[in-house]
Amino acid sequence: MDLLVVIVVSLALVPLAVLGGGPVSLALGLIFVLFFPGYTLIAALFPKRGDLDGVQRLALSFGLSIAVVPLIGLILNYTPWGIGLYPVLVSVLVFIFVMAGVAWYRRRRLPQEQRFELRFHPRLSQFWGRQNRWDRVLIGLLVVAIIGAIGMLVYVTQTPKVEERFTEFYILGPEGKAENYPGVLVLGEEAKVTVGIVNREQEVTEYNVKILIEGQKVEEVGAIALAHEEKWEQEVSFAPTEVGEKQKVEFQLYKGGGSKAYQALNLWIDVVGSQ
Amino acid sequence: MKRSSLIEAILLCVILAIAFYMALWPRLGYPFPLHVDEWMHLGHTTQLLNTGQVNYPNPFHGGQWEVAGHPETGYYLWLGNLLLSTGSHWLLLSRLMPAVVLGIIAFVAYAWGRKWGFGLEAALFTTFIHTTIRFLGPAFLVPVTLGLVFFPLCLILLDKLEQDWRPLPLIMLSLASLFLIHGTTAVALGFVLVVYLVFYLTLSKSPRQQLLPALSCLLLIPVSALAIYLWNRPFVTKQIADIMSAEHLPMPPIPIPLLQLGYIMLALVILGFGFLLARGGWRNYALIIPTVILLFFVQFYRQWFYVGPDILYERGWLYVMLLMALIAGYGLSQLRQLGLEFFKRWRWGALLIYLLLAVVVAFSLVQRMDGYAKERYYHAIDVPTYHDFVWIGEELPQSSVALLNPYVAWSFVPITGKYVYTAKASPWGVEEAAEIRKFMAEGAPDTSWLEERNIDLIYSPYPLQNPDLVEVRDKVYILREEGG
Repeated sequence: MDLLVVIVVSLALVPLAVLGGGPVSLALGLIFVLFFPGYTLIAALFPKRGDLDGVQRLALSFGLSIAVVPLIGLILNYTPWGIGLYPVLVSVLVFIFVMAGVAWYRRRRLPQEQRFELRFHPRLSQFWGRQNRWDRVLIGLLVVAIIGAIGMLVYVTQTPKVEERFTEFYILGPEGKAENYPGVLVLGEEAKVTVGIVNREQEVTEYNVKILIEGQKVEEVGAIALAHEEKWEQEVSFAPTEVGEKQKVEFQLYKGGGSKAYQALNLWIDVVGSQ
Repeated sequence: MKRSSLIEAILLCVILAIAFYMALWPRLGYPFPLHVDEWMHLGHTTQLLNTGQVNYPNPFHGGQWEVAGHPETGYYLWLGNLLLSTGSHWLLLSRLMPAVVLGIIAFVAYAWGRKWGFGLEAALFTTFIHTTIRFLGPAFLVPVTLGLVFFPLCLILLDKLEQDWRPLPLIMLSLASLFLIHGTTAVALGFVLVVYLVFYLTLSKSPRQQLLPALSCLLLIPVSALAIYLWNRPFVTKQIADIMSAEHLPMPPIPIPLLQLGYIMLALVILGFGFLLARGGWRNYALIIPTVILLFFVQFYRQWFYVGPDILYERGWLYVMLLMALIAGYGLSQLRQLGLEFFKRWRWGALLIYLLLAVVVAFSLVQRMDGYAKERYYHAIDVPTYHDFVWIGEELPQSSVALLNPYVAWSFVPITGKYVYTAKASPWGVEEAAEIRKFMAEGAPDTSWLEERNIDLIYSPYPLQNPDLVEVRDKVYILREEGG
């Protein structure tokens, strides 16, 4: 029964891990890496009921899983497949299957009463009915304690909400990537960049973008109202009006109708006269 | 289920919840809770997964040199496997796993101590192991913390070895794996196992045939190290050479971290020592002797002889604290038993003893929390910096080499997937960091200096006015391609 559960859960993990993410994938993945390899190894080596008590079996399963997994990874390194998602999943799966198979075979060779097996109470109402009042209270407390421990673990995983207020402001090249920014322009030629804003101010915010060449405004975009975590990207163009080297092009971001630039980015261009 | 087992299960759950909370401490209210070592290990793990092999280009400095046979490869394989199998983001695992690992350490300690009547106490005090940015600890997801699991694990296997042979391959497997995960911890555990086995072989009154597995284990312990030596001989040889002729850095001495455990726990450790000595027996001596020797090693050997790198002694505190936690657990359990024995004729005696023990545990917990509160942690990056790095990772060409504060560079690499000119952790690279800071403060005027070092990206807190640089985002400057 226990070995079957191990195999079914392990198989269920594979599509989840391949698809990636999610709490179910996380929970199954943790069991798959931190428990199953050690559990099946212990089951294969200690098939008898009296070999180990339940707590030791659990503890050794966790500890030996940590020991087994790196060694499987090291073996994978010397195979043509290397260390990747599929090789890792398949190799751990194979280890679990083989150990579970050995455990099953060795248990089968033992008399029924000596075999290690997990006992489940098939009927909860029967089990509950057999308990007296104090034991019911204690079982209730145990459930609360388990929920509390799991709750603490969930709390640990929650990323704290940080109320940091800021705005992401950036420029990208003409292809929408951070490369090929305008450098040399012919007078009258239009240069293009993509301007991006991501609002992380924790509230709806209004922005304006001004483009200045050598301190002279040549373009303005806005007003742009963005909700918290909303992103805005737009291609903007500007044309220099004078010939000259190392002209500073400034992209100024204004927030909430303010008169002082909130952020500023800059690049330098050389402007040559037309032939 | 027996009533006593139910109560024990409830208390164990409470202890596990405490373990999870203890591991959370340095992460409270901080969304990117990684210490510099954790960032470094994450960088290596990511690179290992990207290349699919254990020999890979250095994740921080690129192809300048290859990482071949990293001493903590086992840890990277384990973490990489977790990342792949769970399909989870590294940030989620970074928050979750320290709690899970400390929970496992506490549970395995419980399983070992339970056989000798102090499982809950051992588990409780195991959660008290301290974490600092100097010698690390269970609140950080690092190889040495993972290695701590193997101490109680191997003690359980050793106990079982007294009855049959089957734990022998498991001990060898665990040690061999631990040598791959964290060699120093494997050496420390090997030492503990040797002491344990020597005491068993010399003082135990077991029949001769039962001594044979233990003798085999004693003889085979070096074989587990030999396996890793054969796999990675150049590294092991270099490590031994480093230890023999270590470069001594101007590291301030560590204040004795035991004080952070709280006076109550320390008193219980002393009591535990006393009880172990008074009770005698090879098993008790086998717990006392390695603890005392390791304590002597980390506290006095360093001061008197100063051989080997500081890191060897610093990590050593963790093994000392783990063994002390087990001894404190033993001390508390003996107090309980003595108290119950003393009041056994009085109807309310047991209740009184358990109430007193609850008070002791509560005060020791308060003191432990106080110890944590006094510890100073730092935040490597803030939220805007994280978003800057994510943006750099998404928008900039893969081949970029970045210049930035060497201490921040550790987190830059795993987030962006790009290389850095240099990454250093304090107190290393102080001069280099100052030089980089000065270069940036002056506005990064020397383009040829950047080109000579293949640097095409700067993350600078200072405004840079070099016309060859384009400020594409706040603090982010890219070097314009020649002719661009």
